[in-house]
Amino acid sequence: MDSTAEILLERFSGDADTDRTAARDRFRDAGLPTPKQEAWKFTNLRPLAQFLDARTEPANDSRPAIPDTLVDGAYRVLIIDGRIDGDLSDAGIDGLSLAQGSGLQADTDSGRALRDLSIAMADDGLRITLDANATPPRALELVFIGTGSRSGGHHFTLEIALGSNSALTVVEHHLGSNAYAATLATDVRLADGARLRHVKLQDESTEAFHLSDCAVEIGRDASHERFVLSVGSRLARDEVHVALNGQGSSVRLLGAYAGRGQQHLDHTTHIDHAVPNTSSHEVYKGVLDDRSRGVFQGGIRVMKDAQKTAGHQLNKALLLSRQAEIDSKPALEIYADDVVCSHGATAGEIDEDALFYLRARGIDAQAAKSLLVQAFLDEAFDGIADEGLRERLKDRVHGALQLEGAAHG
Amino acid sequence: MLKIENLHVEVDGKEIIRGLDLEVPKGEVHAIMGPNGAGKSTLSYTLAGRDGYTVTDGRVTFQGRDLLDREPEQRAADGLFLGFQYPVEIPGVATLTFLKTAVNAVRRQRGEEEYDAMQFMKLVRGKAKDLNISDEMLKRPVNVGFSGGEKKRNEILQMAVLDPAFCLLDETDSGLDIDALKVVADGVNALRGPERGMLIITHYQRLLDHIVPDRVHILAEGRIVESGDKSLALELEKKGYASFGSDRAA
Repeated sequence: MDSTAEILLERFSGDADTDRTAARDRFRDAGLPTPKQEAWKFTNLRPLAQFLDARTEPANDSRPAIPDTLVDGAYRVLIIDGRIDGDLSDAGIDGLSLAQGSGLQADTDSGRALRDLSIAMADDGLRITLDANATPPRALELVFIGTGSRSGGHHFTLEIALGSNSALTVVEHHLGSNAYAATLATDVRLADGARLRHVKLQDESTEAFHLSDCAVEIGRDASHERFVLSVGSRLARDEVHVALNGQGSSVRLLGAYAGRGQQHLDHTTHIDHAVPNTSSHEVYKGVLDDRSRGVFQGGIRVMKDAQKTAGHQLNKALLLSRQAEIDSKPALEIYADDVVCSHGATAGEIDEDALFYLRARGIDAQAAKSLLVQAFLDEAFDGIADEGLRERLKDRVHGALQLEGAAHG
Repeated sequence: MLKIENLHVEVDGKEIIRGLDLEVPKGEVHAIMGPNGAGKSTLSYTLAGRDGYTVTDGRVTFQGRDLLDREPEQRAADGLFLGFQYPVEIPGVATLTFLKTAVNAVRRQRGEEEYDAMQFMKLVRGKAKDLNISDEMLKRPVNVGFSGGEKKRNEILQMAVLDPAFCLLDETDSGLDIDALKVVADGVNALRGPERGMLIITHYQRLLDHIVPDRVHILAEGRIVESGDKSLALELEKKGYASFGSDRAA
């Protein structure tokens, strides 16, 4: 047991919740991941430890400002510093129910220490269940706000279970101010024929740490579409593990990230094709400026029986500065023979020919750059069905990169 | 309107333009003909302000103002338009978005009011129709998947929409079959007028059958070696570049 784990676990000395015991024991044995572990080769969590220490003095203690919804008319749940704020009065409509508390399967050994950490230390949790055949017309928006006013970081668990042939849009909006560490463990289970659209905006304070681990199980003919936009945090890891367990199931993982300053933005995905006739499609696009660093790790595993699998993965990074860096690691393990799988990774700079062409037409250098950056990211944004949401997220990228909106001309 | 005096330009430390003098008054169409490597594209990129084209001597004035210290986008707003020999593909940017961004950027710099969506569409639709450019083509990303002829027609459309004072056309005929050449030439001729100057840069004489120039200049090894009226182009076609002081004849 290392010293960080020891400090963390002091916080739980009086915790009698047996559900968490297994996760806690595993975390005690494993400790925080280090770059010596293959899965953490590119992301070093050492600076995180002090923010997890409950003995650190809190930085701030004020009621945060609540942002506008990202999707018009969405149901909304506020989670401030890892605790649900207010009651869940929106629950029980349109077949949707929301319950406070953590029901994550703490007894399952994922081999992922951060997931164990979130479960073991969760301050609060939310269970979202949707009845079979229900299709609520409004999206559910979860707003996570970090204020830096609680020492030891904040930790949350989320469970999303969709009944058969139901459909839901869930939006996560993570934001905050000051320095803090936020961790989130999510379980998604989609019954046969269910459809989940999941959109996440990671816009944490640039002094904060954001560590999120999402496990998704997809049933027969069910589909999952996920979009993540990462612009915040000094260090963030967005990790998704998808199991395509039912025939005819599919997943689309889309991501965009924009890094500035010394931000470190890690996107790690793993997709298991467990049965025949499943498909996965993955596109991650990143723009990195200054000394920022991006990490993309994309694992695809096709099991022996998973014939007729289609798997496509693409990671492209646009480097706006010579000091920016991207580490891209695709990993395909294919044990079936009748499959179509592809992957690609590129890193490049702004196309100087295109930049000059735009400028020769009267568009100034900054606006031309902005237009090219947006065009580069569009392939990932195209997966967002809601137009208002898509435009808000695009605007956020421009704000984050301090580019002016070019396409408004 | 455009006055070039003793221009010297280096690319990657190598001198390409070596003391070029040229003046194009407003209302006139001039042609520059020259073999490969004579410096034709270097001249056009230098005038448009591309990075990497270093002017080591000489001066260029456009409408009485020093051109060379202006940024490329300022030159465009001043009314200088470069029709590219190789129009650039820009994936992800719709042609219409690009045109609207460009025309409003230019209008803004000129202190004119920006077009709203309706005014803009009306302007573009009319010009596009003359050039056989479909709505479908306008929705596609800039030049992506366009044929050679479509790319050049798209250049002329941009020129028509931006309404420049001076048109600099770099090998606009390259890659065009005879039908496409006619469409492009008609588009250019429609923009001829007493207030506008044009400089047509070409390797072959055939474009000048369709866009008849007032003056023809022969560019060889970085300078103008001969100037004359339109008959010079025909003479050149007959005798070849070798007889006009170039040892790198085409």
